[in-house]
Amino acid sequence: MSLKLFDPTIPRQLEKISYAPRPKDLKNLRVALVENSKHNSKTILLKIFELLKNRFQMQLADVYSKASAGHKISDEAIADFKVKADIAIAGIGD
Amino acid sequence: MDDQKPVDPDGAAELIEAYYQQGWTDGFPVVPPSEQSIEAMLAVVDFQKDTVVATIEARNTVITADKVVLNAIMAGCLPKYMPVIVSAIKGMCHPDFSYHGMATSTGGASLVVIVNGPIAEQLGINSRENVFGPGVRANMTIGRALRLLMMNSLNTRPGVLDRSTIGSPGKISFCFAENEAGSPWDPLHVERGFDRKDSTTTVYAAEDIIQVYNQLARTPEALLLGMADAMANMGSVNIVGQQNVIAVFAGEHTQVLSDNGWNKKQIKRYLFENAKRKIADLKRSARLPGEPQPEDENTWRHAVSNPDDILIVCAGGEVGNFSACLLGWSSLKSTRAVTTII
Repeated sequence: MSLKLFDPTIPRQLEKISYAPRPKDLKNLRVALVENSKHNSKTILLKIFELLKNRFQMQLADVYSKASAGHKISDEAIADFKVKADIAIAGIGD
Repeated sequence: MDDQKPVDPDGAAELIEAYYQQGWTDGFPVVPPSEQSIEAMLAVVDFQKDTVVATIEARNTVITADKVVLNAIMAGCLPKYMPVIVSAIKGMCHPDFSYHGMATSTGGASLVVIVNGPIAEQLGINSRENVFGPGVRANMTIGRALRLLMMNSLNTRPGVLDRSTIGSPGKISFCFAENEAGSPWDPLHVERGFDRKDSTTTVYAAEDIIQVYNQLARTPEALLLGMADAMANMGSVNIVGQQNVIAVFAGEHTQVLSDNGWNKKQIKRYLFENAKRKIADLKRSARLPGEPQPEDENTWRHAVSNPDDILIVCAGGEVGNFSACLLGWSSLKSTRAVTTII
């Protein structure tokens, strides 16, 4: 006997998202840091930047703070990234 | 009996098992939908299957009526519950509620739904004895419908996007009505700007429930010290995050407050002033960073930053010396209670 099941999953997508292209070389690139407001988020990101600066001579474009870990970065910040930075590193999780 | 179609228990059991095998349950058996039950649900709210109920932009998700209805049927909801469910979903998807954080956090927040207004009684949503407990279909299934929607349609599954460390039984279902008839004060939705005759849902991310017991208190001050202590729980996110708190007063405790002529403003002020911890204690327990300094012994952190961040609701039985504190998840930057008209 075949059973008819009704699928409660499969949300409709608003838009497709794809990854931003990765640079082939990190040397001298400008990096934006996005901290998620969790404890030590900014501290860890700045330490990561120090390692990148020492190894690849990267420059710090800016540090952005999200309203909370659950919020997305503001559109203004993203517009700023595009002008000031070549890549961004975001802190996620706890 | 002769007019009824024969029930096939084996067929029903097979269907229920099939939904388990698909991973579409919350661990309890679900009610298998049918074309008829889907149409009955849609008809109550005058939706088509592809009607957009709400969206969560940050999750790239559109919630259509067909998914709402399927999860509601699976939860065991009656069609007449649909307006409450739709209202709660809209609140849950409101930017102020900020769904993503509370749904994915290691903090394991429950989605609390408080129903106000005439619809509560019309639908038989419990506001009295055992208000947070089992036994009433409307309470259990409305809350469950929302959680099933979260798990099935929003991928908020344990171990996937729901990363709760401990979780909570409240995550199974947590819906109740305010006991407006038994309250001497304006109900929650009126405080939050609605008319008494409006029906509303208020959604809230609750980290914890603490029952507050006091049998001897006959003054508001004595009674509220227990609630204040619960609000300032050292192990709660609240004492550092300063999120909303919901203080739920049941019958006998409401009577103590009312008999002494206290209104909600007075209650909130007293709770605000007394729900606090020394900075030194918070540092000793590593809830705040750094070593305690001498001045920290006389500096306090309040559980909320403003008395109006305390929401007061009357619910629970008339008899018994228990009330409850629903501590909030995270902070007001992360999420806040949202009230939506039905």
